[in-house]
Amino acid sequence: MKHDSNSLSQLSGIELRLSYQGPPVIEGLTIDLPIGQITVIVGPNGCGKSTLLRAFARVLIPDDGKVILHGEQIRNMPTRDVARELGLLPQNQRSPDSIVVKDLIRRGRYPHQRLFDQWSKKDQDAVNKALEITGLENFSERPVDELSGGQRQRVWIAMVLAQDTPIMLLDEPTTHLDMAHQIEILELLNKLSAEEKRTVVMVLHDINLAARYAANLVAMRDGSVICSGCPNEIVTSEMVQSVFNVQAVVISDPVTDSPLVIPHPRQKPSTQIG
Amino acid sequence: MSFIVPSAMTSLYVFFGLITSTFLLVGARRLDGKEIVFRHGIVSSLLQQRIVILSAGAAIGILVLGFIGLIVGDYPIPAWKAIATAFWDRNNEYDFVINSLRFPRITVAVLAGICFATSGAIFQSLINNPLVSPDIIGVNNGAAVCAVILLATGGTVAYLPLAAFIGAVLASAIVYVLSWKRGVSGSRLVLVGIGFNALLGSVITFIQVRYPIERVMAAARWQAGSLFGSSWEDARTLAIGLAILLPAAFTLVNRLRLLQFGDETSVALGLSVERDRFALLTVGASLAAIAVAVIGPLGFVALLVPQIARTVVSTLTAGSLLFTGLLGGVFLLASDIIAQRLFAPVTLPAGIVTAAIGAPYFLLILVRYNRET
Repeated sequence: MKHDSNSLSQLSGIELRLSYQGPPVIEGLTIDLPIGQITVIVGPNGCGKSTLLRAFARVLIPDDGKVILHGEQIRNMPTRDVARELGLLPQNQRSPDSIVVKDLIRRGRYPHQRLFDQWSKKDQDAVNKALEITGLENFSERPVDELSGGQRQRVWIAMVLAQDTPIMLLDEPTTHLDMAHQIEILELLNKLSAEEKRTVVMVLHDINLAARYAANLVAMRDGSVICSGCPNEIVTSEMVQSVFNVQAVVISDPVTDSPLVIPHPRQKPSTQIG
Repeated sequence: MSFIVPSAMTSLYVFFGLITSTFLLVGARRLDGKEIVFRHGIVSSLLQQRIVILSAGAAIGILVLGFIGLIVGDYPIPAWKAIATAFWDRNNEYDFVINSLRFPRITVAVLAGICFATSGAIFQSLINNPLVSPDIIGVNNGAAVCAVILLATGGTVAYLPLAAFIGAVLASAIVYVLSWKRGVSGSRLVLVGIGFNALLGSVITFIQVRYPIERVMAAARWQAGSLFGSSWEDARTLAIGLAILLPAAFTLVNRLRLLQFGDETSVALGLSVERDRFALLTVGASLAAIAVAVIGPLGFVALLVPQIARTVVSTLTAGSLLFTGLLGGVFLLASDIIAQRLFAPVTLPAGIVTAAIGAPYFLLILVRYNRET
């Protein structure tokens, strides 16, 4: 029954105006996120990509405009119901002192638990699956503060996985991870989206990884969307120039055929660029 | 001056008591993390075997200390007689000492200990800082201001718990409102709390200086936190409070588990952060307020017991709250017995003993905490 698709977009933002008690970071932005696919948001620092993600996760309440989930305004839905539909991996996580791995991951089951139904078979299965997928089975009894940065990141991803939502929002899931673990996590999300038709929306810094894994790439700058669509169609040297203000050539990735951005050194005068 | 010499027997008991409890706690760390899954129909839960064993241990500790509390005292009563009088044979000359003095006092010590420790556990988790206790939001000083005003102006002692409770609730409400700025954050609560506490402290000092010494002395004794004169009525007040507040705390603990992750993750997992935080602060402050109202602003139980509990139970569940509460009962009851017997026949307020044990331990934690961060 879960993760079924319909022609409507599951998640969209309409005329969003977002701010942190100051001037708006994003104004008048309308965006649709396709279902059952991976959407990656890229853009320079401070362009509002995390802010947008936070609005979709209802962590940030828009000054104006609305976020629509399944045709209904997210603010009007019971927050616990939303938590069964949509999970978030925030950029900065805070774990209580001396908490152990499995305890942290288990807390992700909260939206599914009831007053007297605190540890159902489903809860147990979801947590075990999350431990398995993230390769943390042997760490489940370890205190989180004793883990490395990459392991800790995987613990938090496991918590979001345990929440078991059709939509997953992830703010820079690959930070603190080495190359192997970055690929591992992105492959995992790719698999979840391909096999279980989950909607994954994430912010990534690395445009090459973004282009490789995104079905839908959203490029933002200064609070607005510059372009969006299939990476093969939109990633060009002009696009990289206008979004990141970096001169680059774009070639085809020999492994995956996705676009590969190779930046020029900054010092080179622009006249030398073809 | 006989009273400055501690009683040799009691010192010995205290010494052995401390050794035994240290061993028990160290031993508890070695208990393995086995889990018991309970599922029946729509009811399911997960119990940590370690917490079950520890809670049972703490409950047994309360029973043992309770018997000791019934037996020892200035008025010599044979051990067996004391227990018989408490439970089935009330028709003898010991009835008054046992059933009107010692038994209610033991009960009040246990219940108040549960209140303080549970409250402390809630506050420390909510503010994500092991060094806070309910007094930071003004519970103790608020209660003290009202109590001191009542006693200093010659009010009736019968109104003392009521006045103290009102003061505690008012003070914490004021701190909460002053900390509000698009929501309440833990650090702002602590800062506002410290400021407001200082203000209340100066009011107390002013009243103490301004009013006649003999009335002020009564207030000072109350402020130290004493179980002297505890009655069944006090025990009933605490029992009713716990009957309401403990189930509330056990229900809210799942939300507290998420609030520890910070606001963003809590929202993402389906909490209404401000509402849930308010509920938890209310339950935590009320637990402390009731205990302060009945026995006075007794220090260190709320601060230290959750810390000691965390050395053996690192998780936060209804079970861990229960264990922390029971440990609070053990701690306060033991402190009160020591306070009564250590310098017998002179008795001390229990608050002096909890402070004497608590302050050095607190310094130790502070030093360790500073090294870690």
